Amino acid sequence: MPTKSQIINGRKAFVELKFGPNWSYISTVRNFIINFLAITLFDKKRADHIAMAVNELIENAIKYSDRDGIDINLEVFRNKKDDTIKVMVCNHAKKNEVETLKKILDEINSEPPLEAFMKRMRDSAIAECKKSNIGLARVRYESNAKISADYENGFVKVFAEFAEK
Amino acid sequence: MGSLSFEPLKLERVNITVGDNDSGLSIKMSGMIDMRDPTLDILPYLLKIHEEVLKKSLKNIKADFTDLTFMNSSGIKTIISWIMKLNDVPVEKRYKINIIYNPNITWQESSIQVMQQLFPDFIVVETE
Repeated sequence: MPTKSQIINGRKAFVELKFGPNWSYISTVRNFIINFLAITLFDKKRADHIAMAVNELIENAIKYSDRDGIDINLEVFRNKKDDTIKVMVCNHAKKNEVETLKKILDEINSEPPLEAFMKRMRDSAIAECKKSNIGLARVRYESNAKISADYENGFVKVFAEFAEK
Repeated sequence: MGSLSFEPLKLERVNITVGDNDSGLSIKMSGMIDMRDPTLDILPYLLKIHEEVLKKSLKNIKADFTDLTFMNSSGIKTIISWIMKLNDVPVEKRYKINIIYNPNITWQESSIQVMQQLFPDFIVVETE
């Protein structure tokens, strides 16, 4: 097992999934998260936003994972006190790629969410722009999530935290 | 105005059909765009439509997204790449894309509004 289960605010995740880096699993995971959160949060729209974010983070994990065959871990935490939801996606990655990711996140987090999304939408259509990072900017704008990343022992953990709506 | 004939694009999880309507041409997308790289199949199809619309000098086309239940960011990139092709067209030859969306589908409510803000000269959005 590449990573131990996370403990956040003294609690383990209330959803933990581990699966191979296979593109065809993404929609199944997304649908599971929508259905699970819709009955947990009683809020379909919020569940949709969080599932969209999960989708984008898993896509990135599969695209940028630097080793085939190493599982992706998805953990979802809920803090009932302030009703925040935190999602973590973990995959194997090179340290320099994670440093680049952290810089991109700093940039996206420092901009107003709408501007960040629009800027990356424009950039995405430019042929030379191979990595537009439109997905991360979309997560920030559409779900108002705080996104961060940590690197440890060859694995990157990307966190998205969703405040109460 | 002559009619445009396009075979539907049928992929594993999304179908795109093209038909004539009163104002010109209508594109309907149904299903989900969540493949790894929609620029391989969907973008060439949309650009073929783009070329034909210009050849026929159509001024308006309808893009019906109301049955498109999910689109990943690569799908958004694909739609933006199509819309931005209008930048390469002389102003007098450009057409307008009228996007019909479903506000009850969460991704459409947010992302399509942002597309309209980004390209107010190229697209108009309305709910079904």
